[in-house]
Amino acid sequence: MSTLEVKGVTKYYKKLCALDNVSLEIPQGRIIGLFGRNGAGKSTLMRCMLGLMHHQGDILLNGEKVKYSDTAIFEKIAFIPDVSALDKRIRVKDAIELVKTINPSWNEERFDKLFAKSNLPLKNKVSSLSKGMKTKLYLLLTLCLDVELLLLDEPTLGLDIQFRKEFFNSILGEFYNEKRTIIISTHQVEEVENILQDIIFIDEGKIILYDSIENINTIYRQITVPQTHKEAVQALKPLSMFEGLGNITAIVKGEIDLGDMLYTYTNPRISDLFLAMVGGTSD
Amino acid sequence: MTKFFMFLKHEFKANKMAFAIPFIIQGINLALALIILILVASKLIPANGTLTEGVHELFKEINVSIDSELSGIVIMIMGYIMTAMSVTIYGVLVGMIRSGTVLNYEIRMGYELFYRSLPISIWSRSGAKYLNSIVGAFIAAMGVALVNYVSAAIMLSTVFVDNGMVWTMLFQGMIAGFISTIFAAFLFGSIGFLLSAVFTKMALMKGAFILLITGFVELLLKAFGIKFLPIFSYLTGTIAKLLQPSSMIQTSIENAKDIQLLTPIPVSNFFHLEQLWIMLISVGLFVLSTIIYKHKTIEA
Repeated sequence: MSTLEVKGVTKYYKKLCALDNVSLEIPQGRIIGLFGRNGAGKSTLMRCMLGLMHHQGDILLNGEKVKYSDTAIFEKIAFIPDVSALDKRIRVKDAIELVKTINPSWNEERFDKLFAKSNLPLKNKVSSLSKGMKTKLYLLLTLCLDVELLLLDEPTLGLDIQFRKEFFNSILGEFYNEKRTIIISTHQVEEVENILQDIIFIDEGKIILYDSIENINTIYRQITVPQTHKEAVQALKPLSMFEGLGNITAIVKGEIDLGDMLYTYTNPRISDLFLAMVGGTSD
Repeated sequence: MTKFFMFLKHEFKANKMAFAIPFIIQGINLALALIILILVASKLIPANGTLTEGVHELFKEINVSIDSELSGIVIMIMGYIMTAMSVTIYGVLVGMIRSGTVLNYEIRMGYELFYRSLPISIWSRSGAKYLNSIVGAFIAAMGVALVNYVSAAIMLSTVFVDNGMVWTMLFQGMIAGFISTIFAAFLFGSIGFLLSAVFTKMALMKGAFILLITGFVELLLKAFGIKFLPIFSYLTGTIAKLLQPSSMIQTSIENAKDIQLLTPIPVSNFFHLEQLWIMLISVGLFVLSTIIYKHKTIEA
Protein backbone atom coordinates (compact mmCIF):
# COMPACT_ATOMS: atom_id res chain seq x y z
CA MET A 1 0.00 0.00 0.00
CA SER A 2 1.18 3.50 -0.77
CA THR A 3 1.99 5.74 2.17
CA LEU A 4 0.56 8.75 0.41
CA GLU A 5 -1.73 9.01 -2.58
CA VAL A 6 -2.41 12.24 -4.38
CA LYS A 7 -5.45 11.94 -6.64
CA GLY A 8 -6.27 14.66 -9.14
CA VAL A 9 -5.27 17.54 -6.90
CA THR A 10 -5.87 20.98 -8.35
CA LYS A 11 -5.22 24.21 -6.52
CA TYR A 12 -5.94 27.74 -7.64
CA TYR A 13 -4.72 31.00 -6.12
CA LYS A 14 -7.49 33.21 -7.45
CA LYS A 15 -7.06 32.70 -11.21
CA LEU A 16 -3.53 31.26 -11.02
CA CYS A 17 -3.41 27.50 -11.31
CA ALA A 18 -0.71 26.36 -8.84
CA LEU A 19 -1.45 22.63 -9.12
CA ASP A 20 -3.07 21.15 -12.19
CA ASN A 21 -4.67 17.74 -11.67
CA VAL A 22 -1.67 16.26 -9.87
CA SER A 23 -1.69 12.53 -9.17
CA LEU A 24 1.08 10.62 -7.38
CA GLU A 25 1.54 7.45 -5.38
CA ILE A 26 4.28 7.67 -2.81
CA PRO A 27 5.29 4.35 -1.28
CA GLN A 28 6.91 3.52 2.07
CA GLY A 29 10.61 3.71 2.64
CA ARG A 30 11.68 5.97 -0.22
CA ILE A 31 13.76 9.11 -0.34
CA ILE A 32 12.24 11.34 -2.98
CA GLY A 33 13.51 14.58 -4.47
CA LEU A 34 10.87 17.12 -5.48
CA PHE A 35 12.29 19.62 -7.93
CA GLY A 36 10.85 22.57 -9.73
CA ARG A 37 11.50 26.20 -10.48
CA ASN A 38 10.37 28.91 -8.09
CA GLY A 39 6.59 29.06 -8.24
CA ALA A 40 6.31 25.65 -9.93
CA GLY A 41 4.01 24.35 -7.17
CA LYS A 42 6.40 22.41 -4.88
CA SER A 43 5.44 24.17 -1.63
CA THR A 44 1.76 24.21 -2.57
CA LEU A 45 1.85 20.46 -3.26
CA MET A 46 3.50 19.80 0.13
CA ARG A 47 0.97 21.97 1.96
CA CYS A 48 -1.93 20.27 0.21
CA MET A 49 -0.45 16.89 1.23
CA LEU A 50 -0.54 18.08 4.84
CA GLY A 51 -4.10 19.38 4.76
CA LEU A 52 -2.89 22.93 5.22
CA MET A 53 -4.71 24.18 2.14
CA HIS A 54 -8.11 23.79 0.56
CA HIS A 55 -7.88 22.07 -2.83
CA GLN A 56 -9.80 20.00 -5.33
CA GLY A 57 -9.09 16.26 -5.50
CA ASP A 58 -8.11 13.82 -2.77
CA ILE A 59 -5.06 13.08 -0.70
CA LEU A 60 -4.91 9.80 1.19
CA LEU A 61 -2.46 8.80 3.89
CA ASN A 62 -2.42 5.02 4.40
CA GLY A 63 -5.78 4.91 2.66
CA GLU A 64 -7.40 7.54 4.84
CA LYS A 65 -8.42 10.87 3.41
CA VAL A 66 -6.38 13.83 4.61
CA LYS A 67 -8.90 16.47 5.64
CA TYR A 68 -8.29 20.18 5.72
CA SER A 69 -6.78 21.34 9.01
CA ASP A 70 -6.78 17.86 10.54
CA THR A 71 -3.85 18.44 12.86
CA ALA A 72 -3.83 14.82 14.06
CA ILE A 73 -1.99 14.06 10.82
CA PHE A 74 1.13 15.63 12.32
CA GLU A 75 1.52 12.62 14.57
CA LYS A 76 2.32 10.73 11.36
CA ILE A 77 3.87 13.42 9.17
CA ALA A 78 6.55 15.96 10.03
CA PHE A 79 7.20 19.05 7.99
CA ILE A 80 9.78 21.78 7.70
CA PRO A 81 8.55 24.70 5.60
CA ASP A 82 10.71 26.84 3.37
CA VAL A 83 10.44 29.86 5.60
CA SER A 84 12.04 30.59 8.92
CA ALA A 85 8.81 29.70 10.70
CA LEU A 86 10.10 29.30 14.25
CA ASP A 87 8.59 31.75 16.70
CA LYS A 88 11.36 34.19 17.54
CA ARG A 89 9.78 35.30 20.84
CA ILE A 90 10.44 32.02 22.60
CA ARG A 91 13.58 30.33 23.95
CA VAL A 92 15.16 27.24 22.43
CA LYS A 93 14.14 25.13 25.45
CA ASP A 94 10.53 26.38 25.17
CA ALA A 95 10.34 25.33 21.52
CA ILE A 96 11.71 21.89 22.45
CA GLU A 97 9.34 21.56 25.42
CA LEU A 98 6.36 22.56 23.25
CA VAL A 99 6.98 20.01 20.50
CA LYS A 100 7.97 17.33 23.03
CA THR A 101 4.74 17.76 25.02
CA ILE A 102 2.38 18.23 22.12
CA ASN A 103 3.67 15.56 19.74
CA PRO A 104 3.35 11.96 20.99
CA SER A 105 5.78 10.87 18.25
CA TRP A 106 8.69 12.51 20.09
CA ASN A 107 11.72 10.23 20.42
CA GLU A 108 13.76 11.31 23.44
CA GLU A 109 16.67 9.00 22.67
CA ARG A 110 17.11 10.44 19.20
CA PHE A 111 16.71 13.93 20.60
CA ASP A 112 19.59 13.38 23.05
CA LYS A 113 21.78 12.07 20.25
CA LEU A 114 21.01 14.89 17.81
CA PHE A 115 21.02 17.61 20.45
CA ALA A 116 24.54 16.61 21.54
CA LYS A 117 25.72 17.26 17.98
CA SER A 118 23.83 20.52 17.54
CA ASN A 119 25.58 23.02 19.89
CA LEU A 120 22.21 24.73 20.36
CA PRO A 121 22.08 27.13 23.35
CA LEU A 122 19.00 26.09 25.34
CA LYS A 123 18.51 29.36 27.17
CA ASN A 124 18.83 31.64 24.15
CA LYS A 125 15.83 33.18 22.47
CA VAL A 126 15.20 32.00 18.92
CA SER A 127 15.55 35.62 17.79
CA SER A 128 19.20 35.64 18.92
CA LEU A 129 20.11 32.56 16.85
CA SER A 130 21.79 32.80 13.47
CA LYS A 131 19.80 31.63 10.46
CA GLY A 132 21.82 28.44 10.39
CA MET A 133 21.17 27.76 14.09
CA LYS A 134 17.45 28.38 13.62
CA THR A 135 17.43 25.85 10.80
CA LYS A 136 19.35 23.41 13.03
CA LEU A 137 16.75 23.84 15.75
CA TYR A 138 13.92 23.26 13.31
CA LEU A 139 15.63 20.16 11.96
CA LEU A 140 16.19 18.88 15.49
CA LEU A 141 12.53 19.40 16.41
CA THR A 142 11.41 17.58 13.30
CA LEU A 143 13.88 14.72 13.11
CA CYS A 144 13.13 13.71 16.71
CA LEU A 145 9.65 12.67 15.67
CA ASP A 146 8.90 9.03 14.87
CA VAL A 147 6.72 9.75 11.85
CA GLU A 148 6.00 7.82 8.68
CA LEU A 149 6.54 10.70 6.33
CA LEU A 150 8.93 13.61 6.48
CA LEU A 151 8.45 16.59 4.18
CA LEU A 152 11.42 18.90 3.90
CA ASP A 153 10.96 22.12 1.97
CA GLU A 154 14.39 23.70 1.52
CA PRO A 155 15.57 22.15 4.80
CA THR A 156 19.16 23.37 4.73
CA LEU A 157 18.54 26.98 3.75
CA GLY A 158 21.04 29.18 5.56
CA LEU A 159 23.29 26.33 6.65
CA ASP A 160 26.98 26.25 5.78
CA ILE A 161 28.23 23.65 3.34
CA GLN A 162 29.81 21.52 6.10
CA PHE A 163 26.54 21.13 8.01
CA ARG A 164 24.58 20.65 4.80
CA LYS A 165 26.77 17.70 3.88
CA GLU A 166 26.56 16.35 7.44
CA PHE A 167 22.80 16.72 7.35
CA PHE A 168 22.22 14.90 4.09
CA ASN A 169 24.90 12.24 4.60
CA SER A 170 24.58 11.49 8.29
CA ILE A 171 21.86 13.28 10.29
CA LEU A 172 19.06 12.34 7.90
CA GLY A 173 20.28 8.74 8.21
CA GLU A 174 19.42 8.82 11.92
CA PHE A 175 15.81 9.32 10.92
CA TYR A 176 15.47 7.17 7.83
CA ASN A 177 14.50 3.51 7.75
CA GLU A 178 12.64 1.28 5.30
CA LYS A 179 9.27 2.23 6.85
CA ARG A 180 9.75 5.97 6.53
CA THR A 181 9.46 8.12 3.46
CA ILE A 182 11.27 11.40 3.03
CA ILE A 183 10.34 13.99 0.41
CA ILE A 184 12.95 16.69 -0.04
CA SER A 185 12.48 19.85 -2.00
CA THR A 186 15.67 21.78 -2.52
CA HIS A 187 17.49 23.87 -5.07
CA GLN A 188 20.80 22.33 -4.00
CA VAL A 189 20.25 19.30 -6.20
CA GLU A 190 23.91 18.22 -6.28
CA GLU A 191 23.93 17.77 -2.51
CA VAL A 192 21.02 15.37 -2.43
CA GLU A 193 21.27 13.42 -5.67
CA ASN A 194 23.42 10.71 -4.08
CA ILE A 195 20.82 9.86 -1.45
CA LEU A 196 17.70 10.05 -3.61
CA GLN A 197 15.85 6.95 -4.77
CA ASP A 198 13.04 8.67 -6.69
CA ILE A 199 12.61 11.97 -8.44
CA ILE A 200 9.62 14.19 -9.05
CA PHE A 201 9.85 17.13 -11.44
CA ILE A 202 7.06 19.65 -11.26
CA ASP A 203 6.55 22.54 -13.64
CA GLU A 204 3.69 25.02 -13.87
CA GLY A 205 1.69 22.90 -11.45
CA LYS A 206 2.06 19.67 -13.44
CA ILE A 207 4.13 16.59 -12.68
CA ILE A 208 6.40 16.17 -15.66
CA LEU A 209 8.47 13.31 -14.31
CA TYR A 210 8.08 10.85 -11.44
CA ASP A 211 10.33 7.84 -11.55
CA SER A 212 13.08 6.00 -9.71
CA ILE A 213 16.70 7.00 -10.26
CA GLU A 214 17.29 3.45 -11.49
CA ASN A 215 14.69 3.79 -14.24
CA ILE A 216 15.75 7.29 -15.12
CA ASN A 217 19.31 6.10 -15.65
CA THR A 218 18.02 3.44 -18.01
CA ILE A 219 15.76 5.75 -19.98
CA TYR A 220 17.77 8.96 -20.22
CA ARG A 221 21.36 9.29 -21.42
CA GLN A 222 23.72 12.16 -21.85
CA ILE A 223 25.77 11.70 -24.99
CA THR A 224 28.76 13.61 -26.24
CA VAL A 225 29.73 13.57 -29.93
CA PRO A 226 31.95 15.76 -32.15
CA GLN A 227 30.18 18.85 -33.48
CA THR A 228 30.42 17.49 -37.00
CA HIS A 229 27.66 15.00 -36.11
CA LYS A 230 25.14 17.60 -35.08
CA GLU A 231 22.51 16.45 -37.57
CA ALA A 232 22.69 12.86 -36.37
CA VAL A 233 22.14 14.00 -32.78
CA GLN A 234 19.23 16.24 -33.80
CA ALA A 235 17.63 13.22 -35.44
CA LEU A 236 17.44 11.60 -31.99
CA LYS A 237 15.15 14.46 -30.90
CA PRO A 238 17.20 15.30 -27.82
CA LEU A 239 15.60 16.91 -24.79
CA SER A 240 18.47 19.37 -24.69
CA MET A 241 21.56 20.05 -26.75
CA PHE A 242 24.63 22.03 -25.81
CA GLU A 243 27.53 22.93 -28.08
CA GLY A 244 30.98 23.71 -26.74
CA LEU A 245 34.67 22.96 -27.10
CA GLY A 246 34.18 21.17 -30.41
CA ASN A 247 31.63 18.75 -29.01
CA ILE A 248 27.89 18.48 -28.68
CA THR A 249 26.40 17.28 -25.43
CA ALA A 250 22.78 16.19 -25.53
CA ILE A 251 20.30 14.46 -23.29
CA VAL A 252 18.24 11.90 -25.12
CA LYS A 253 15.44 9.58 -24.18
CA GLY A 254 15.29 5.93 -25.10
CA GLU A 255 17.58 3.82 -27.23
CA ILE A 256 20.48 5.56 -28.98
CA ASP A 257 21.09 4.60 -32.56
CA LEU A 258 24.03 6.50 -34.05
CA GLY A 259 25.31 3.72 -36.29
CA ASP A 260 29.09 3.37 -36.28
CA MET A 261 29.62 6.83 -34.88
CA LEU A 262 31.89 7.08 -31.88
CA TYR A 263 30.27 8.69 -28.90
CA THR A 264 30.49 8.65 -25.13
CA TYR A 265 27.53 8.53 -22.80
CA THR A 266 26.84 8.93 -19.13
CA ASN A 267 23.82 9.09 -16.87
CA PRO A 268 22.57 12.66 -16.89
CA ARG A 269 22.82 14.63 -13.68
CA ILE A 270 19.48 15.48 -12.11
CA SER A 271 19.98 19.20 -12.61
CA ASP A 272 20.82 18.72 -16.30
CA LEU A 273 17.86 16.43 -16.83
CA PHE A 274 15.61 18.92 -15.06
CA LEU A 275 16.81 21.78 -17.25
CA ALA A 276 16.43 19.60 -20.31
CA MET A 277 12.83 18.87 -19.42
CA VAL A 278 11.64 22.29 -18.30
CA GLY A 279 13.92 24.42 -20.48
CA GLY A 280 16.50 26.95 -19.35
CA THR A 281 20.26 26.82 -19.03
CA SER A 282 22.59 25.24 -16.53
CA ASP A 283 23.73 28.73 -15.59
CA MET B 1 -6.05 18.69 27.97
CA THR B 2 -2.28 18.40 28.48
CA LYS B 3 -1.78 19.83 25.00
CA PHE B 4 -4.17 22.67 25.72
CA PHE B 5 -2.48 23.61 28.99
CA MET B 6 0.94 23.28 27.39
CA PHE B 7 -0.14 25.66 24.68
CA LEU B 8 -1.67 28.03 27.22
CA LYS B 9 1.65 28.09 29.07
CA HIS B 10 3.49 28.56 25.78
CA GLU B 11 1.25 31.48 24.83
CA PHE B 12 1.92 33.09 28.18
CA LYS B 13 5.67 32.70 27.74
CA ALA B 14 5.54 34.13 24.22
CA ASN B 15 3.55 37.15 25.41
CA LYS B 16 4.80 37.66 28.95
CA MET B 17 5.98 41.19 28.24
CA ALA B 18 2.41 42.19 27.41
CA PHE B 19 1.41 41.05 30.91
CA ALA B 20 4.33 42.73 32.61
CA ILE B 21 3.71 46.13 31.00
CA PRO B 22 0.56 47.02 33.06
CA PHE B 23 2.45 46.27 36.28
CA ILE B 24 5.44 48.32 35.20
CA ILE B 25 3.22 51.28 34.22
CA GLN B 26 1.19 51.00 37.41
CA GLY B 27 4.34 50.71 39.52
CA ILE B 28 5.57 53.97 38.01
CA ASN B 29 2.13 55.60 38.54
CA LEU B 30 2.00 54.57 42.18
CA ALA B 31 5.54 55.68 42.88
CA LEU B 32 4.74 59.09 41.33
CA ALA B 33 1.46 59.36 43.28
CA LEU B 34 3.23 58.52 46.52
CA ILE B 35 5.96 61.09 45.90
CA ILE B 36 3.36 63.78 45.07
CA LEU B 37 1.27 62.88 48.15
CA ILE B 38 4.29 63.04 50.45
CA LEU B 39 5.47 66.31 48.89
CA VAL B 40 2.03 67.96 49.15
CA ALA B 41 1.34 66.57 52.65
CA SER B 42 4.75 67.63 53.90
CA LYS B 43 3.90 71.20 52.89
CA LEU B 44 0.72 71.00 55.02
CA ILE B 45 2.27 69.51 58.19
CA PRO B 46 1.32 71.71 61.16
CA ALA B 47 4.13 72.97 63.37
CA ASN B 48 5.73 69.99 65.20
CA GLY B 49 3.19 67.71 63.43
CA THR B 50 3.65 64.39 61.67
CA LEU B 51 3.27 63.38 58.02
CA THR B 52 -0.08 61.71 58.90
CA GLU B 53 -1.35 65.04 60.20
CA GLY B 54 -0.18 66.57 56.93
CA VAL B 55 -2.25 64.04 55.01
CA HIS B 56 -5.25 64.91 57.25
CA GLU B 57 -4.79 68.55 56.29
CA LEU B 58 -4.65 67.57 52.65
CA PHE B 59 -7.97 65.69 52.93
CA LYS B 60 -9.53 68.70 54.61
CA GLU B 61 -8.21 70.90 51.77
CA ILE B 62 -10.00 68.73 49.21
CA ASN B 63 -13.18 68.67 51.38
CA VAL B 64 -13.05 65.00 52.34
CA SER B 65 -14.44 64.47 55.79
CA ILE B 66 -12.51 61.86 57.69
CA ASP B 67 -14.91 61.24 60.56
CA SER B 68 -18.40 60.94 59.11
CA GLU B 69 -20.23 57.84 57.78
CA LEU B 70 -19.96 59.35 54.31
CA SER B 71 -16.22 58.71 54.47
CA GLY B 72 -16.96 55.02 54.05
CA ILE B 73 -18.82 55.74 50.82
CA VAL B 74 -16.04 57.99 49.62
CA ILE B 75 -13.57 55.17 50.20
CA MET B 76 -15.84 52.66 48.51
CA ILE B 77 -16.20 54.95 45.48
CA MET B 78 -12.44 55.38 45.44
CA GLY B 79 -12.04 51.60 45.41
CA TYR B 80 -14.63 51.37 42.64
CA ILE B 81 -13.04 54.06 40.49
CA MET B 82 -9.53 52.70 40.99
CA THR B 83 -10.61 49.21 39.98
CA ALA B 84 -12.92 50.29 37.19
CA MET B 85 -10.15 52.45 35.76
CA SER B 86 -7.53 49.72 36.04
CA VAL B 87 -9.79 47.16 34.45
CA THR B 88 -10.97 49.60 31.80
CA ILE B 89 -7.47 50.67 30.88
CA TYR B 90 -5.70 47.35 31.19
CA GLY B 91 -8.47 44.79 30.88
CA VAL B 92 -10.54 46.44 28.17
CA LEU B 93 -8.11 48.61 26.23
CA VAL B 94 -4.95 46.51 26.57
CA GLY B 95 -7.03 43.35 26.25
CA MET B 96 -8.61 44.66 23.07
CA ILE B 97 -5.29 45.82 21.63
CA ARG B 98 -3.71 42.45 22.52
CA SER B 99 -6.59 40.44 21.18
CA GLY B 100 -6.55 42.56 18.00
CA THR B 101 -3.25 40.90 17.09
CA VAL B 102 -3.69 37.50 18.69
CA LEU B 103 -4.83 35.43 15.71
CA ASN B 104 -2.93 37.28 13.01
CA TYR B 105 0.44 37.86 14.66
CA GLU B 106 1.95 34.47 13.76
CA ILE B 107 0.57 34.71 10.23
CA ARG B 108 2.06 38.18 9.80
CA MET B 109 5.41 37.15 11.24
CA GLY B 110 5.59 33.90 9.24
CA TYR B 111 5.42 31.59 12.31
CA GLU B 112 2.01 30.18 11.57
CA LEU B 113 3.24 27.09 9.69
CA PHE B 114 5.28 26.00 12.68
CA TYR B 115 2.18 26.00 14.87
CA ARG B 116 -0.12 24.52 12.24
CA SER B 117 2.34 21.63 11.86
CA LEU B 118 1.82 20.62 15.49
CA PRO B 119 -0.74 17.95 16.35
CA ILE B 120 -2.93 20.31 18.33
CA SER B 121 -6.35 21.33 17.05
CA ILE B 122 -7.03 24.85 15.84
CA TRP B 123 -9.84 25.07 18.44
CA SER B 124 -7.45 24.28 21.30
CA ARG B 125 -4.93 26.80 20.00
CA SER B 126 -7.58 29.43 19.48
CA GLY B 127 -9.06 28.74 22.94
CA ALA B 128 -5.64 29.07 24.57
CA LYS B 129 -5.06 32.31 22.69
CA TYR B 130 -8.48 33.65 23.68
CA LEU B 131 -7.95 32.85 27.33
CA ASN B 132 -4.46 34.25 27.21
CA SER B 133 -5.34 37.51 25.53
CA ILE B 134 -8.70 38.36 27.11
CA VAL B 135 -8.75 36.56 30.43
CA GLY B 136 -4.99 37.05 30.72
CA ALA B 137 -5.29 40.81 30.22
CA PHE B 138 -8.14 40.82 32.65
CA ILE B 139 -6.14 38.95 35.29
CA ALA B 140 -3.29 41.40 34.74
CA ALA B 141 -5.80 44.24 35.22
CA MET B 142 -7.08 42.61 38.39
CA GLY B 143 -3.50 42.30 39.59
CA VAL B 144 -3.05 46.02 39.00
CA ALA B 145 -6.34 46.70 40.81
CA LEU B 146 -5.11 44.66 43.78
CA VAL B 147 -1.83 46.56 43.84
CA ASN B 148 -3.88 49.78 43.79
CA TYR B 149 -6.13 48.44 46.53
CA VAL B 150 -3.32 47.53 48.88
CA SER B 151 -1.42 50.76 48.19
CA ALA B 152 -4.53 52.93 48.64
CA ALA B 153 -5.60 51.04 51.78
CA ILE B 154 -2.19 51.51 53.35
CA MET B 155 -2.18 55.20 52.44
CA LEU B 156 -5.75 55.79 53.67
CA SER B 157 -5.10 53.83 56.85
CA THR B 158 -2.69 56.57 57.79
CA VAL B 159 -5.65 58.98 57.68
CA PHE B 160 -8.52 56.94 59.17
CA VAL B 161 -8.42 55.55 62.67
CA ASP B 162 -10.67 52.61 61.76
CA ASN B 163 -8.26 50.64 59.57
CA GLY B 164 -10.70 47.75 59.12
CA MET B 165 -13.28 50.09 57.66
CA VAL B 166 -10.82 51.40 55.06
CA TRP B 167 -9.83 47.92 53.93
CA THR B 168 -13.43 46.67 53.79
CA MET B 169 -14.91 49.67 52.01
CA LEU B 170 -12.12 49.80 49.47
CA PHE B 171 -12.54 46.07 48.89
CA GLN B 172 -16.30 46.41 48.35
CA GLY B 173 -15.65 49.25 45.92
CA MET B 174 -13.06 47.17 44.15
CA ILE B 175 -15.40 44.19 43.74
CA ALA B 176 -18.15 46.47 42.40
CA GLY B 177 -15.72 48.05 39.95
CA PHE B 178 -14.41 44.64 38.93
CA ILE B 179 -17.81 43.16 38.19
CA SER B 180 -19.16 46.19 36.37
CA THR B 181 -16.21 46.15 33.92
CA ILE B 182 -15.35 42.45 33.49
CA PHE B 183 -18.16 41.90 31.01
CA ALA B 184 -17.16 44.87 28.92
CA ALA B 185 -13.62 43.46 28.91
CA PHE B 186 -14.96 40.19 27.51
CA LEU B 187 -17.09 41.91 24.89
CA PHE B 188 -14.43 44.30 23.62
CA GLY B 189 -11.71 41.64 23.83
CA SER B 190 -13.89 39.29 21.80
CA ILE B 191 -14.47 41.99 19.17
CA GLY B 192 -10.69 42.49 18.96
CA PHE B 193 -10.29 38.71 18.67
CA LEU B 194 -12.73 38.61 15.74
CA LEU B 195 -10.95 41.50 14.03
CA SER B 196 -7.63 39.65 14.39
CA ALA B 197 -9.18 36.64 12.64
CA VAL B 198 -10.61 38.71 9.80
CA PHE B 199 -7.73 41.11 9.13
CA THR B 200 -4.07 40.14 8.99
CA LYS B 201 -2.78 43.68 9.21
CA MET B 202 -3.99 46.72 11.20
CA ALA B 203 -7.02 44.82 12.47
CA LEU B 204 -8.04 47.36 15.11
CA MET B 205 -7.68 50.32 12.79
CA LYS B 206 -9.85 48.60 10.21
CA GLY B 207 -12.31 47.60 12.93
CA ALA B 208 -12.54 51.18 14.21
CA PHE B 209 -13.13 52.38 10.65
CA ILE B 210 -15.94 49.85 10.17
CA LEU B 211 -17.44 50.90 13.50
CA LEU B 212 -17.40 54.55 12.47
CA ILE B 213 -19.04 53.71 9.17
CA THR B 214 -21.64 51.65 11.07
CA GLY B 215 -22.31 54.63 13.36
CA PHE B 216 -22.70 56.91 10.38
CA VAL B 217 -25.10 54.51 8.64
CA GLU B 218 -27.05 54.13 11.88
CA LEU B 219 -27.41 57.90 12.15
CA LEU B 220 -28.55 58.13 8.54
CA LEU B 221 -31.10 55.34 8.94
CA LYS B 222 -32.36 56.88 12.16
CA ALA B 223 -32.78 60.23 10.41
CA PHE B 224 -34.96 58.52 7.81
CA GLY B 225 -36.87 56.63 10.50
CA ILE B 226 -35.59 53.19 9.41
CA LYS B 227 -35.10 50.62 12.18
CA PHE B 228 -31.68 48.92 12.18
CA LEU B 229 -29.68 46.67 14.49
CA PRO B 230 -28.06 49.32 16.74
CA ILE B 231 -24.49 47.92 16.89
CA PHE B 232 -22.80 51.30 17.27
CA SER B 233 -25.28 52.50 19.90
CA TYR B 234 -24.90 49.25 21.81
CA LEU B 235 -21.12 49.53 21.92
CA THR B 236 -21.07 53.21 22.86
CA GLY B 237 -23.75 52.49 25.45
CA THR B 238 -21.55 49.79 26.98
CA ILE B 239 -18.62 52.21 27.13
CA ALA B 240 -20.88 54.77 28.85
CA LYS B 241 -21.96 52.16 31.38
CA LEU B 242 -18.32 51.58 32.23
CA LEU B 243 -18.05 55.17 33.36
CA GLN B 244 -21.11 55.00 35.63
CA PRO B 245 -20.89 53.74 39.20
CA SER B 246 -22.72 50.46 39.65
CA SER B 247 -26.24 50.39 41.05
CA MET B 248 -24.77 49.01 44.26
CA ILE B 249 -22.73 52.17 44.75
CA GLN B 250 -25.68 54.39 43.86
CA THR B 251 -27.88 52.62 46.44
CA SER B 252 -25.16 53.08 49.04
CA ILE B 253 -25.03 56.80 48.37
CA GLU B 254 -28.81 57.17 48.44
CA ASN B 255 -29.03 55.34 51.79
CA ALA B 256 -25.90 56.90 53.20
CA LYS B 257 -27.52 58.08 56.42
CA ASP B 258 -28.57 54.70 57.69
CA ILE B 259 -26.67 52.21 55.60
CA GLN B 260 -24.59 49.66 57.45
CA LEU B 261 -21.58 50.10 55.28
CA LEU B 262 -19.62 47.28 56.81
CA THR B 263 -22.31 44.69 56.01
CA PRO B 264 -21.30 42.60 52.99
CA ILE B 265 -23.37 43.44 49.92
CA PRO B 266 -25.37 40.43 48.57
CA VAL B 267 -23.69 38.87 45.51
CA SER B 268 -26.98 38.95 43.58
CA ASN B 269 -26.80 42.76 43.60
CA PHE B 270 -23.79 42.62 41.30
CA PHE B 271 -25.34 40.66 38.44
CA HIS B 272 -28.02 41.30 35.84
CA LEU B 273 -29.31 39.71 32.65
CA GLU B 274 -27.37 41.96 30.29
CA GLN B 275 -24.12 40.42 31.54
CA LEU B 276 -25.33 36.99 30.46
CA TRP B 277 -26.02 38.34 26.98
CA ILE B 278 -22.55 39.85 26.83
CA MET B 279 -21.01 36.49 27.74
CA LEU B 280 -23.09 34.69 25.11
CA ILE B 281 -22.12 37.25 22.46
CA SER B 282 -18.47 36.84 23.50
CA VAL B 283 -18.66 33.06 23.12
CA GLY B 284 -20.32 33.53 19.72
CA LEU B 285 -17.57 35.91 18.63
CA PHE B 286 -14.93 33.38 19.75
CA VAL B 287 -16.55 30.60 17.72
CA LEU B 288 -16.89 32.82 14.64
CA SER B 289 -13.27 34.02 14.99
CA THR B 290 -11.96 30.45 15.22
CA ILE B 291 -13.91 29.33 12.14
CA ILE B 292 -12.52 32.27 10.13
CA TYR B 293 -9.00 31.64 11.48
CA LYS B 294 -9.21 27.93 10.66
CA HIS B 295 -10.05 28.64 7.03
CA LYS B 296 -7.44 31.32 6.56
CA THR B 297 -5.01 30.22 3.87
CA ILE B 298 -1.36 30.29 4.73
CA GLU B 299 0.32 31.42 1.54
CA ALA B 300 2.92 29.08 0.04
